[in-house]
Amino acid sequence: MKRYILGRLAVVPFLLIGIVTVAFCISRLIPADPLTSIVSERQMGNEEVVKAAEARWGLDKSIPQQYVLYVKNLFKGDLGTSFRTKQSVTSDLGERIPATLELAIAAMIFGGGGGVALGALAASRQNKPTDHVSRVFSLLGSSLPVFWTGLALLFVFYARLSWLPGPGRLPARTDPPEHITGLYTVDALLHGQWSLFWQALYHLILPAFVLGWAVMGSVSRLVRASMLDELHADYVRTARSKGLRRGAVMRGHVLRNAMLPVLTILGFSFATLLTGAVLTETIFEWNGIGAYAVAATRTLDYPAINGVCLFGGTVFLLANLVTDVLYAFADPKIRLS
Amino acid sequence: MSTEPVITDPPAAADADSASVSRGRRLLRLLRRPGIAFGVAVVLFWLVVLVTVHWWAPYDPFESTGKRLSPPSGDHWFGTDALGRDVFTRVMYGSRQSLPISVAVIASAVFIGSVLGAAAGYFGKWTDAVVMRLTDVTMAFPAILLAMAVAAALGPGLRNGFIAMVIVWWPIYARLLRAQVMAIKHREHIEAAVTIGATRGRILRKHVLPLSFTPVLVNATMDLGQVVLLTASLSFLGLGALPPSPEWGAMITEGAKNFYQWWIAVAPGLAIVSVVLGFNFMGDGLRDALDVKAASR
Repeated sequence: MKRYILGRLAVVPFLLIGIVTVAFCISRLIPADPLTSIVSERQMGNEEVVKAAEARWGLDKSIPQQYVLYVKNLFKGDLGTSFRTKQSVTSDLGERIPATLELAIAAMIFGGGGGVALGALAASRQNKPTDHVSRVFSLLGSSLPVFWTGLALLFVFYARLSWLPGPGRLPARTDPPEHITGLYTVDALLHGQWSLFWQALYHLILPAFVLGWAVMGSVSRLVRASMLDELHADYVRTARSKGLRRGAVMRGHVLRNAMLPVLTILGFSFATLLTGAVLTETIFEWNGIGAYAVAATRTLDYPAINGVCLFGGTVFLLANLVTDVLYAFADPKIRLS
Repeated sequence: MSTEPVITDPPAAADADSASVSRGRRLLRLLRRPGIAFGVAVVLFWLVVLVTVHWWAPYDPFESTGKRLSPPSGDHWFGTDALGRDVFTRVMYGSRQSLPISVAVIASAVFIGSVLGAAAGYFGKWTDAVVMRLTDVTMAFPAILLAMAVAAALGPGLRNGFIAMVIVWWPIYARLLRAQVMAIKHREHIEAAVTIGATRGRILRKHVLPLSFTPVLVNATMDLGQVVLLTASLSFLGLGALPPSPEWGAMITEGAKNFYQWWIAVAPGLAIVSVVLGFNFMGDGLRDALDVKAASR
């Protein structure tokens, strides 16, 4: 197993180089002159200002030179300066990651937990009404455009019924808790600010539901399929024939073995949630990575686009690595080979 | 598996045979499954709309035809938008944007992916290494971020959205085909063909690719829905279809700007959901029906 894990680790640097290169290429594909988004229109005629801007962003050098410069800076943790916010992309990302992380965790609890429960329920009642209802619910989850579901739910629960709060992470004119982790719910708890905690949680419900539903679909389908595979295995018949109750077999044997393939999709789902929050964040005015990415693409802010791509690629890479390693620990078959 | 090794492989050859003879009939029989039938019905409905909409649509999709922002009524079934255009008409015309582009994206992705994936699986060595590393790097990016970045780099518009989405989708088919080819290439009917002296290209085309038809079909059906979703998402973000065109995602953006005039976003949203659900039901049913493992249950 050591060899297996080392083998997986050995590929990581190469993939990272690939990710960096692709991110760089995409950002340099942009046909528009990046100068127009840095220098104001009135200053474009001012040669000194243009020269200074070019030198500052390395725009006066050739593309390969820009690449070398870019990789060098990357090693120092410098992703460049955003054209739009005029701040370093690293600190921009750092500020926004906690918001996305909080949303992704909430969505994961909802989508992952709900998906496992729904899939297990569907498998234990195969081809019965419960199974069909769960199939429709799951398929709906992966068929709904999240930006539309978000709008619709906001309209019903916020605008019409006022049961749930509107967009944003906290009510307007409310100060966030003092920064510890950046996750408002956690920070509020750590400071013992209960009302703030409830407010933050309250604002999480809708976006987490919208985002989690999509994941719930794929998770529940996989749990169902994987449990059905296990249900027909010999050891289940043995357990049943020695007199174990159906429920006990389900919980003790089937669910446990069926969770193996599910592990993979859970890891992958979390990565998807972290990066796929683009649309949800736009609708719910959630100041995370996704909203940052959208703003960056609208203003052709390529250091920022680059940074977000790098972040997304790295998260995916790590998620895959972690699930592979966990899988190796969990599955004795991999350990043997 | 319990029989002598000599007769373990013929099913593969038989499979290829029956696939070429009765594929049409087998696919028709699938329509008896309610999920597939529902999916096919929805997709057929939208195809009919796509072809005939200019004959029966009540209004022009680009002209202001009524009071601005008027709620649904007998004259305007889904109301009018901020420019007074009929929402129902625009949603029906929207099928002309979303469906062709998703078919084009998947067809291109399947073509590019099949060629590269089959080559990688069949020739192995450095061809395999190069193609697989390319898929690794492409797939290392989250689909929506990659599509956004490429679309932003190329500039908004459906044509560039199309290029971005092909870049996102081809690796999936390259991997699928590679795995299929690797599994098939050591079967006996391939060895037989090699012995007869068939060229590698001919073996790929005549003996390997036909066997990969089923998994590609199932995947492509599911992915068609996902492309419809991604097209709408890109347009919603302003990176796909541009404003005057009646694209569903772009229409939802207009709906979001007029949040309290709910009818503007409702109809295009329902259109997206129905199309994607249709493709998903078809794909889900096909997977259940064609997957040998599931069929034995």
